Amino acid sequence: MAGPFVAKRRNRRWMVGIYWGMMVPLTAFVVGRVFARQPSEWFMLIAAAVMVLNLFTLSRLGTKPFFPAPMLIDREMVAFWNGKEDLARLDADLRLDERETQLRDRAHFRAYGILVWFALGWFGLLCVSRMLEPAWSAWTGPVFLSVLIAVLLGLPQTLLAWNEPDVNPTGEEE
Amino acid sequence: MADNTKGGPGESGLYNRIAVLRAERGVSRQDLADALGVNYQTIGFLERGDYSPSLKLAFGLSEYFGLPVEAIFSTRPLEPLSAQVYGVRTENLGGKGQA
Repeated sequence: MAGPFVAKRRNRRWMVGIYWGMMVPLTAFVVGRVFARQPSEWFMLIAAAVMVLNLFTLSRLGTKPFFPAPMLIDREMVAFWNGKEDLARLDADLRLDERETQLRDRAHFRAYGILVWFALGWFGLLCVSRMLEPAWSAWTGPVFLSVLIAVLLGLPQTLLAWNEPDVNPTGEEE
Repeated sequence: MADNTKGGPGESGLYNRIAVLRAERGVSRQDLADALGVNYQTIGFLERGDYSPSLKLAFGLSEYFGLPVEAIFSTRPLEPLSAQVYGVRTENLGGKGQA
């Protein structure tokens, strides 16, 4: 799946920056709408936007989607996006081998470690806000979930794309 | 050529002869990867010693090259194959040709 562009870690780091450059304002926007007491449809919007961005941006970084190939919502769409007409070949590309599975699990482990600190920080903020201004507690849930989804779906791929060394896409000697 | 028979064993702590065997038989990383059912990048990681393979993958390599696992992987630096095969003859010649 890794094309020549995403084979370079420097390029992948640029794309990670672009991805989060889109995600952070989007999340901030949704959080703003939550403050304006219109959370429900915007909450769904960010969930959909994160999934689409995740599929079309981070899966283009040379990191494979974390879903097994048969679980992908639309393999034909992924095949079109990746320029793969042969679905059997696409499935083979999407299949994780033992090293990639290990990398994926490690990335999830690290990402969830970061999320634990995020959740603890948020819990602290919730406690403080309840003491200072009880009305704030109404929006903490939706905001927390919005940020959590944005981070949860993007962070493991981000860690992989950021840390994986340069690869030679031809498979020949480096 | 990526070959960790010399120098350090990489992150895995294992020395291996995969690159030498592959070059000797004219097999590309992609061919080897396809035969073993892994990504070609994994072959590169194995050759550099940056990935420690599972037993299944190690035995897969062993079957593919028709060699025992210990001929491919070692926790100690591996001697060049030529030295192993012709070492006795070289000793009889008084060490001529040894680097």
